[in-house]
Amino acid sequence: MDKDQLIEKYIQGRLSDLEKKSVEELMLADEEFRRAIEWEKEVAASLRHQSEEEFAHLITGLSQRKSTSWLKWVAAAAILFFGIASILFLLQSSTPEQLFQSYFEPQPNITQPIIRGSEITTRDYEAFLAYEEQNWENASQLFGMLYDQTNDPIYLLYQGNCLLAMGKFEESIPVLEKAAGQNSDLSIRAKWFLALAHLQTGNLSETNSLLQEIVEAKDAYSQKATSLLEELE
Amino acid sequence: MIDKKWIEGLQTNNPEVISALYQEHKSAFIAFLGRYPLSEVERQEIFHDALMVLKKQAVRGQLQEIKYSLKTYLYAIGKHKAIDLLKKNARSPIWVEDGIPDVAVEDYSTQEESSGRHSQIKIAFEKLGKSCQKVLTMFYLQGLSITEIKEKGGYENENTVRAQKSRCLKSLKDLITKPKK
Repeated sequence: MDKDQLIEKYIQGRLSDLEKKSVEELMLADEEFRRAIEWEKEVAASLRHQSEEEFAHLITGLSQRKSTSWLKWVAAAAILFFGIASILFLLQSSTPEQLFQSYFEPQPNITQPIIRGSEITTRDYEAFLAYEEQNWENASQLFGMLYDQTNDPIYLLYQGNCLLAMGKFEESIPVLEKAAGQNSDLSIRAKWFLALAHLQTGNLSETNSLLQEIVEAKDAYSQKATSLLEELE
Repeated sequence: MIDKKWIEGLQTNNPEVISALYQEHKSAFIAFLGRYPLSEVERQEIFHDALMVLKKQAVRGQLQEIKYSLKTYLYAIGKHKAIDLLKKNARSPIWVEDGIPDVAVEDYSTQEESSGRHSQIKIAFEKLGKSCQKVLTMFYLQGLSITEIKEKGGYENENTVRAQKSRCLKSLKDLITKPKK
């Protein structure tokens, strides 16, 4: 059994008597091994500690639920008030451009987790890093290249978002159309951004029919699509 | 045997599972403690303490070994805590036959006290990507073996899991030793 496996078993308390002996010997003879074990013990203890604190917080929250329920009503009333106020505001002044501004929010990066300070520098990573840093021009080019290499439509969705964020609405349409036409899971998300692109370019009939499709799909964007449709009417 | 659903929920702080656990047992547990001369606040505190014991045992891989149901075990911890508290305050506990087993409860309060190092690791851990957080949680908090992580996380083979775990540990260390903005 190699050292990594011994460390794994040690940390999880699964060592046999014989393996325990090997670990004890290695701890004395091998400095690197000893340090690796100490570090993993520290990580395990910290994660436990952190998780226990979160748990304590959760149960305290549950115990306070009843006593703070009136606060929730106040909060709900406030949200309702501001909600109605903002709808009235939007109804008063909703040109397609203004509607675009209030509805467009770039697709969050849920594809490539970014570890700040990491040494990973694949193109994929670079593209998403640029995206998260709102370096749209650079990100758009990288996503375009990634799509050419992989044919994965997810890159088109992000590229389309970069173009929308840069105000290149006409250019974003063929990119998003391609993304919408490929994968059913991705398709509705792409259609939402496509609808926004058409809204901004003044093609309201296309916007309407895309929004109808999104509403019928009962997806994450259905609610937004319903309210945008109502405002357009 | 305690149902896996509860153990996993406790290990990962799943809010739905914890809320269900809390709501399902709170009233009956507090009523059960009614047989001891304790105040309402004390009984409430014992309920929280007992849940904390379950949590601590879950992340130490000890809950899987319990041979009782979750409810019986929770009540057994509660009973132990109640008697302890009464003894500590020189109030005499009354022995009641209730069918709840007597269990020993380890004192976790002196172990793993909060330290600056914990918060450094905590901050660094939060900066890791989701996939790293997931693999480290499965290994250190859920106590899953490398083979189990391979199956649960859809990894190709054990070596991929080991490589991922070791990369994540390295990133974690780098975030602590060479912090960037």
